[in-house]
Amino acid sequence: MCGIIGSPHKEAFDYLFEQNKERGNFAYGVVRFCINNNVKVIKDNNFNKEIEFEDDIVFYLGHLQSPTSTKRDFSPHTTHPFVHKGMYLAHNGVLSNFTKLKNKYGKYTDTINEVDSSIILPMIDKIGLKSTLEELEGTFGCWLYNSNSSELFVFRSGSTIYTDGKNISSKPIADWTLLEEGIIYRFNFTKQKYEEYDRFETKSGFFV
Amino acid sequence: MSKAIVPISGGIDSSVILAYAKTKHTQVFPLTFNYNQRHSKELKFAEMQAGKNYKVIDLPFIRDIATTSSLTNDEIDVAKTKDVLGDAQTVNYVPFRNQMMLSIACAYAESKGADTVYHGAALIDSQAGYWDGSIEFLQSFGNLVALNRKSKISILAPLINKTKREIILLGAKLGVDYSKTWTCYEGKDLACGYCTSCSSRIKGFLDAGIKDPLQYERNDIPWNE
Repeated sequence: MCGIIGSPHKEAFDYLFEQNKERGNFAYGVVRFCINNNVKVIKDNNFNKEIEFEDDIVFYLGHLQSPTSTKRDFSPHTTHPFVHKGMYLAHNGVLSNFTKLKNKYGKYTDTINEVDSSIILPMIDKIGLKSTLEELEGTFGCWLYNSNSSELFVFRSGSTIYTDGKNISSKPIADWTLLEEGIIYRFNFTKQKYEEYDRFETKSGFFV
Repeated sequence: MSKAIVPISGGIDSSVILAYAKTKHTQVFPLTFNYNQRHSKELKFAEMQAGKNYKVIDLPFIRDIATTSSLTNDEIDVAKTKDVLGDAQTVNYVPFRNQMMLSIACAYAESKGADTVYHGAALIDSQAGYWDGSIEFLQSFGNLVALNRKSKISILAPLINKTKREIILLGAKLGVDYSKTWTCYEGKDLACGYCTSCSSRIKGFLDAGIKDPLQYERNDIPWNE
């Protein structure tokens, strides 16, 4: 179980970080980006350490990780977010066709490792976002920040992402609603809210 | 003469596999496990599906050792889909249950001279985080069984790549009576509609365009009647 969170406000981000600790207390990854699109990534497994932020941040994104294998030690290499060619991605879920995808797309990059999530960005780079999401099987809830185009996306199939329109959280928060499956939402930084950007065919096998 | 062992739970997947196996083998031995599961109600439905050569094996010790599962520990609530989607392993997972059951089925196969044991895993199992329902598990278990020097037993999982929709349509074609199947982990009078097992069943029927004959506690399922 993992948690993904995001907010344009530090106070809200800190609250969501605390709320989602119960979903993942093994390691965390945080991305923050600034007005000049300077992106900073922090990965650690010390939850007691205060995360330092600058003042000109426009958005905070986080992933709280629960290990899927007890053999895995903390490693920045296998800790979210994954980074590839200016794109940053955190994933909550299990990709059931990871082995197949790795055989198909692994040859295109050396950034894919044993974590199923590591396949997603190289796939997006190769075949685009929508085609990638339609090829993934299993469960996924993700945020994706593309620093090349300064676009922030969230999408899900199976895995939960709750929102109040502006903030996101894997864990249900008060009266927040579930993002609809099969829709790619893009954050409108002017209006400070997520808007529908595109749709994809979801293979989720659950009626929630 | 081809013989097969078919572990059945009373749910959709194993009921469809049983119907399928009956078309492929001259003799089929349905097998059910009673491990004092929370939803022991499913045993009644397994019996309704079974037919000839039916056997129930009691595994009461599982409840004693598998204390982390909601299915074998009444103090743990059954996980609802909305709370656990995307989890690598939910509390509905029973530790190593599938290996135990498959091993017993293989032992039974040896004594019956059966060359095939069916495994009820479906695509949704991997999606729900069950490692013991994955293709990798099937391959690994098959490799283990292949070490047997005398009895050659194949472990087949014909539904492992199939969606619930595909399974339901296949079962309908094979004549499976879905009113005589049980899926819910809660095991109450009506199916809850919220547990991971119910929600995949509901989605499968919705996608297949068939109304599930089971009655649910929840009344917001958009059946096309």
